[in-house]
Amino acid sequence: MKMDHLPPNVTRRWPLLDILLTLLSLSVPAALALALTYPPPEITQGQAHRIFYIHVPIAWVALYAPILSAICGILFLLKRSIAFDQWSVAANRIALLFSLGVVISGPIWAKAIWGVYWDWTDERLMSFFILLLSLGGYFYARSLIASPERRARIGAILSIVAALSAITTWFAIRLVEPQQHPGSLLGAMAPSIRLTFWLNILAFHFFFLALFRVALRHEKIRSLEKSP
Amino acid sequence: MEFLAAIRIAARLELLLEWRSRGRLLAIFAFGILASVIAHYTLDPALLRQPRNLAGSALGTLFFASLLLSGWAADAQDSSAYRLLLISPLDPAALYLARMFARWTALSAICVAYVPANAVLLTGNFPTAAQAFAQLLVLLQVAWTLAALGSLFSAMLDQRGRGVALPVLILPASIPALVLASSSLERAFLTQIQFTGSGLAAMVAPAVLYSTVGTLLFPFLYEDGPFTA
Repeated sequence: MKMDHLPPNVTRRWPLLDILLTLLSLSVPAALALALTYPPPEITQGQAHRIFYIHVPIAWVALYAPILSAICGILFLLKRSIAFDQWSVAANRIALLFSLGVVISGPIWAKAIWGVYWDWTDERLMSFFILLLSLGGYFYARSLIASPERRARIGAILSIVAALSAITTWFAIRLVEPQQHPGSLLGAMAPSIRLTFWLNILAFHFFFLALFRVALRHEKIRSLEKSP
Repeated sequence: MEFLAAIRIAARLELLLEWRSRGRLLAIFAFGILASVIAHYTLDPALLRQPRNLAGSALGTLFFASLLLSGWAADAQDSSAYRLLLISPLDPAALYLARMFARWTALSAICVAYVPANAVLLTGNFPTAAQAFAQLLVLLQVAWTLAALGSLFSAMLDQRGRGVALPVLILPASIPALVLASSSLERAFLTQIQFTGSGLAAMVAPAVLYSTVGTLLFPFLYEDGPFTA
């Protein structure tokens, strides 16, 4: 894409992005290879437990992103700086991608362990599903609004409601249905599993940060291209 | 006190607007009845007598009724009557609360008529007073959540976007209230419901949360002014 008309502070290389992309390209393949080969099969779940080395890190990231977006939405409403709207949109783009990852990787594990791909009574699966629907509504509603100022205001409100919906869905299902989802095992992992798990957490955080920087840069360029 | 007076003025106008279009409430009621009749002839009657299906039928009708009401309310927003409210010195938060109250009143009217009609069409009998009261109590708190969400979301979109975007926005946000209501409503059909303090608090929590969020955020929808780079 030709970007001669864009200001140099947008088109110049971002050293932090270069560093993050380098870390991402080294750490993610290494962590995934480790997840597939290093820890022995788990006693109760067998090979199916390896999905957790992907599922849990992307679920963690998918939780940060909408909260970050909602905080940026609040800051936009208070400060009226377009930078906060760009942060909010970029965070929600990543949230959408990673939530999709959660609702794809979760059912793969569920089919192996529960015998079904989907369980409507599982509060975590449902929370991410609701988050996914809310984010779909967020981007669709934004696409319908022509005025950048109004789009940013409504986007901020929707990002706050999306984060709240996901959290309240979690609580609602937790109240109505008994818990089925595996709880936190952070304190009870074998050393090989613990090492692989934390390396994957680290790798997927590099993945998140790199994607976030790319999405933020994309938003900045888009806003400049749309401005007269 | 001024804020309460503003809510009272705006609520009166909103209720008048709602009353002016009362024919639409009849249309929603007819839609609910039609849904019950279709359910009666298309689902296994043995299954239909299961309270869970009755609860699903009632919640589904309430959800679609709220969508229709929100869309119509937003159409009224484009009319000159609502523009007068917007340029008046009334606090936008009071406007939001008044609009939510008017939507909730309209949904409540539908629920009052729908609960016995739905029971007769699907089970062949009127509900007992205890059943009807318990069902109404559950449905009215869901109606509160739906009115809170509908009043906020419908003000965000123009006429072109409402048709598709409203269900996409309201459905995910209303899921917590629908989930919490589903089991209570099922028990209400069996007259087994026990309204404990914590149970009621949990049921009302989504409505209180979204009403508060709506009251805080609605004024931003009607603010003008550019943002900074």
